[in-house]
Amino acid sequence: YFGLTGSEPLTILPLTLETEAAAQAHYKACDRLKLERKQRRMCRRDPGVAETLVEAVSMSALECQYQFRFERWNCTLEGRYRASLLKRGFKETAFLYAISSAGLTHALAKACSAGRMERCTCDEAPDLENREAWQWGGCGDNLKYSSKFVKEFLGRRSSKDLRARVDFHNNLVGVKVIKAGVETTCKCHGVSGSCTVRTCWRQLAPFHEVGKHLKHKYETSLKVGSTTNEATGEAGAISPPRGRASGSGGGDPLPRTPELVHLDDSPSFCLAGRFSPGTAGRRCHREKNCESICCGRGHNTQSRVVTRPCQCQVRWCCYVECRQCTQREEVYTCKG
Amino acid sequence: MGLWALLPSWVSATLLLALTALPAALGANSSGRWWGIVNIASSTNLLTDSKSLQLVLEPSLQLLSRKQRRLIRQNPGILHSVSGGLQSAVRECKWQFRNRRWNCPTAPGPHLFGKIVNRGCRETAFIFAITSAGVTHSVARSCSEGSIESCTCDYRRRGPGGPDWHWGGCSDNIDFGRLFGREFVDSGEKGRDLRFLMNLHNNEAGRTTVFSEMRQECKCHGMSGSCTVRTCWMRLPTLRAVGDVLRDRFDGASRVLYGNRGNNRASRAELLRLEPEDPAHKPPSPHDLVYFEKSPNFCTYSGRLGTAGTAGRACNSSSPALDGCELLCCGRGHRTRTQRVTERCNCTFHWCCHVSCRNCTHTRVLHECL
Repeated sequence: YFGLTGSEPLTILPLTLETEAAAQAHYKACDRLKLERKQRRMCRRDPGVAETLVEAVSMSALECQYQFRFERWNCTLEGRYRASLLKRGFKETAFLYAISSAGLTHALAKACSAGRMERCTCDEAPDLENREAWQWGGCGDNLKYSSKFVKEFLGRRSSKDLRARVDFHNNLVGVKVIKAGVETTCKCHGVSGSCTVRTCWRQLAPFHEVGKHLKHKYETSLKVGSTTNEATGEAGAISPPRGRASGSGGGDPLPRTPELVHLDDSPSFCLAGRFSPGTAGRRCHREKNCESICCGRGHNTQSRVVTRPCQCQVRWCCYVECRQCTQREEVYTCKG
Repeated sequence: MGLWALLPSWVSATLLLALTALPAALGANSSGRWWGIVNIASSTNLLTDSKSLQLVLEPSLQLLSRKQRRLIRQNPGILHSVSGGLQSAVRECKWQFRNRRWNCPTAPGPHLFGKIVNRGCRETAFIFAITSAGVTHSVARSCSEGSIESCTCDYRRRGPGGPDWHWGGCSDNIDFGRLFGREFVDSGEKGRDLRFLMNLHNNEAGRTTVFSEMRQECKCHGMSGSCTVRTCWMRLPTLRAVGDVLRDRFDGASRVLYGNRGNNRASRAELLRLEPEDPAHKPPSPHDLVYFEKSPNFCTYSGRLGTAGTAGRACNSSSPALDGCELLCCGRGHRTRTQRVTERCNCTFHWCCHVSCRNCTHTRVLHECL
């Protein structure tokens, strides 16, 4: 596990340039990331992976906090809250796994096309050549390589623990959302910009779209339970597996669904506890969400004066001149 | 009347003595005592014809202060209006808090809202505001209906009101309602402490909300309904609209304490100042509700605090909001029950003349707090 779903403190490590030889630099960076053995080996294999991993963690964390900014659980990632959350199978835990794998997939695909990796380049689509009036060109984001990398990087397929299988399932959901968001972008060439020739390439959706999509899946997450197979003593999901479960390499006993799944009902996140600092003192919007975020405890009003530039004009030539307007605004925070 | 005369004189004297002794037995705290008249059963005719006798006949009136009883005598017909306003306020309170842990429970008898009114919390603030608003609203409406002898429509609104319209019709008499409300409701409060100031402030907030929510209505006159001439009048808001505003004020209520500004020689208005407990917070305006104590935990039953708890309450298992089972049941969990419901359906009218229906049975799922 890694990043939002790992156990290390969530500090974005600065990748300062080392004085050692260039060949050794990314080894040090990989060691600082506190990876598992297999993950460290995959990280050392390519000099660009460490930098991409850091970028993926940052992107996932910011997107999570953006998507949950109006919720009682606002994606608090401080060490002890996150550690307690990851021990349980809440919907919030499922979202963390999905956004983490999605962020890694997205960052890695971008890193390939940006030329920061040695083992992968732009997405190549030779099988689609000459099939359409236009032709593949440009530099597409390499989703094939990144999704394969992420599944290997985050996977623990062989585990029999239901919780581990739920986590792996939610990781895959994150990768699937990235795949579903691929768009084809085209550009026209020809005399005076006519579309005599068109060049197209595949591009990932902005990560904000991915976050929004996963937020929706969070809200419609499916709850799965466990039953004991008395014959084998194994714990399996309620949904029957497809195909034979007993054979080696059998089907995944979790439901084959693109939805997130969770095991436990979420707490309310209203009061300070193991999973969150509570909503006391949280800012809220009075007509929109104060009642829900403050859990009925009510809100306080603070009045403050803010100064903002206004009535800006362009002066010839050439600068912008503004006046400073003072304005009183009210800030609402939840009562304790 | 006749029944009273039939009784022997010694029975009448004993009954009078018992009624007179009622105030002493009601306890030291007198806040909101007048709410006990909510269930008064009276008719306008009785109030009009038997002014002095009904004050003796009705035990609930002993809950009123001397000034309140005098106000009722001076305004024949107003007791019915006050009682009706109080009943409307109770219904509105229950509606506004139907999805909250505290759902405005009431009890028969003189202690209408229970022990919660002895605390200085937000719920008490809402109770005082909505009851004051209910009385103001009901009295103002009764003036326009002609139920109260000493007031009528607000006839000060006469003549031209603007370039293309003039006052007419019957404007609701909010000024009388507000004035009577202040005299009647506030005279039930005694003392000079923080609780006294809090109750007065919240009573006034309720009245002010009714006043500020008044709206102008107009009607067009002219050939074929054209707007050659327009007549306008002021109309009271619905009590639901007042309740919505006060519930919003409840959520944003200000926690206050005594302001220490000035000294003993300062004017009375200066002494009666409520300041926010946190100086960074906005000072309460006349429209805001104020409180000085944190609310009790409404999750569990407590005889001492007067809280009923949320066990057995109906909740919504799929809602993350306040009516959801997670919040309403305070994390204790909920029980799911199924209920078979039989209703009439597929009704058809047969000429002539009867309606025949079928009986449809379906299952309803209910969730209750543990």
